[in-house]
Amino acid sequence: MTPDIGEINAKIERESAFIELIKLELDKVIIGQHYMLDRLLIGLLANGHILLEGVPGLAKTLAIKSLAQTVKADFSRIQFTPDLLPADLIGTMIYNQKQESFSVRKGPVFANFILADEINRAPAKVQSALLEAMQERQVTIGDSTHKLPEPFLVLATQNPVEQEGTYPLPEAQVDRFMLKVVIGYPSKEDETKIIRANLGMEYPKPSQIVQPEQILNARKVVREVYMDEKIEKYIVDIVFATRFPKDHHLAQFEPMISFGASPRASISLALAAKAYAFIKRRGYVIPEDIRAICKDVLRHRIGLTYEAEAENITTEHIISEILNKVEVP
Amino acid sequence: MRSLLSALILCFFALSSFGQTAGAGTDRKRIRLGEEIKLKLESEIPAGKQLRWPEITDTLGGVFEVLGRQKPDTTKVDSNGTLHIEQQYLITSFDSGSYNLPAFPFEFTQGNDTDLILANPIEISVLTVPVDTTKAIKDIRGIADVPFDIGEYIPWILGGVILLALVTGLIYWYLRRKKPAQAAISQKKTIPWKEALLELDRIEKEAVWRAGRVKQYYSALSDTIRKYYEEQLKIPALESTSDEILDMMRNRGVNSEAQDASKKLFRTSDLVKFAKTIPDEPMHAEALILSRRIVELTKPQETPSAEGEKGKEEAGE
Repeated sequence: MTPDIGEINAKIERESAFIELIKLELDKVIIGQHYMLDRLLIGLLANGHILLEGVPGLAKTLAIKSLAQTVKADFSRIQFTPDLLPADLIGTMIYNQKQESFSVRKGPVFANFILADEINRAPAKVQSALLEAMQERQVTIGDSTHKLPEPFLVLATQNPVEQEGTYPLPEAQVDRFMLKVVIGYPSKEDETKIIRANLGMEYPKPSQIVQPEQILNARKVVREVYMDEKIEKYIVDIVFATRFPKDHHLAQFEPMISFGASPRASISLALAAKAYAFIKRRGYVIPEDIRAICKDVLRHRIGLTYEAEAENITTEHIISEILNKVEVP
Repeated sequence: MRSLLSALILCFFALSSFGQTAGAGTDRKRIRLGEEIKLKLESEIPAGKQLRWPEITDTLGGVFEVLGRQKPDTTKVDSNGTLHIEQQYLITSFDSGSYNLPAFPFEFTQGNDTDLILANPIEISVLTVPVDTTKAIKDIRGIADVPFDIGEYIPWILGGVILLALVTGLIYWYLRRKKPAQAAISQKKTIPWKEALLELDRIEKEAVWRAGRVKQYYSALSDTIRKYYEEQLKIPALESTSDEILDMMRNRGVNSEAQDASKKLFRTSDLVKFAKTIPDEPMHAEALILSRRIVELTKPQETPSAEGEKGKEEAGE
């Protein structure tokens, strides 16, 4: 059955109204950083977890916290530290002396929005526990399995500096994040506004304006956004270029890439592009959507060799070159 | 045994006792300091007897140094099982004078009976080099110059000439091989705007939209224009999105009418390609007219002086 674009557009018109409201609320708190806010919304709509990377003080935590506050849903903030244990995250069995039995005490992971602050500061077993919950969307405590609430979104932050005493996420685990968003410094104008806002008597707070059901409905519409086979082929061409650069006239990157993007990357790229089109209130995906979110989807999914690192070649550089070489439909 | 050994000074003393023999000999009895002497020990041993070979350590008689030794050589002498064993040593001395090599003991055993045969000692004179003390002491001679001999260099010169000829031949072969390919390319090189118009004529003739293949029709139109821009404007149009192409046109100062026409064509094509939109029938013909107009507006303008020429491939910049 061929989807009717007009019908999808009408649905988008209906279901995307809250997007503007969220943006307005976030603009009250976060000055500038529209790129990051758009990516947060993509993650929210595409049901994909997000890893935010940036130097301290760029409002990563504030942005995630504010987004969670705009939705009437449970929010947990977990500060990852080296002494954190998996049980501190997912919960544990507590012995009740009165009833002489064990009962489950759920951990902070049982919330709609999880802010995993500085995820690379906790050891591998804690990261693993969270990433398993992200993938399975359920947690096993003792001998009982508990479903996580919907919507369930993990927004993790990590700091690219101060690597001492950190536990970098392994490739297999970082692949579970749909987007890895790298945040830069604000512009001069934005920074001036930030100073003024912070010197005021009271810092604004976002209001709860969205119900979780609205997000779940919007997610259904996002999946209905039409993607032509030409766009699908474009996605596959880009992902294959990361695996076999030689076949795409990028032989110079053959010794630079140790492994290319996984099929999960193709799925994420397609889904994130649909969410991006939804935000732009379009019922179909165009190549511009793919190019807009390509770096955020692929940057953490391409493995670099020592040779690439020695020559200061980054995954962003490789993705840019791929986008310049792969023919646009 | 080497020919040198045939010149052995016969200094071989052999003793025999009940069928067994043993002896020792050297190839010379006078040496200069440090010169080598070949010492040979040999014995014949009848079947059923056991021989204990003389023990030779690193020095002999405290004067001679053992420089090396060969492995014992055993041969069968007759059908009774008599064996001939011999071993050769290389010895020298650095002390001048006259010394005796010790009498080497060969011990034969059969049951409880033991026979001992001692080889006769051999006297060796170790001589020094006579020094004329009346003359002054001279320094060590320097490195002597070897006279130039062209014969030694001939193989190198020949090798170099052959290598040079090979490299020249390879380069010649490579250039000859590449030339036809380049010639073919240059022959194939055509004028982009003419190519584009020919392609548009072909699209019009085929008119695939009449068969309901509207998406294919608009894809062909936009691809033709993008390919034309790639060659004419030298922009990476095939690897760019519609908006990026329009930005590049703006940056290059392409005339605004061509920009507007491109925008309209690309927008319509994108809607057909990615949003399954099917424009009204008049738009199909209009899209073709737009495409031709774009080519006309951006093709290089012929100057009066260059009339008749094919025109330079300067885009409408």
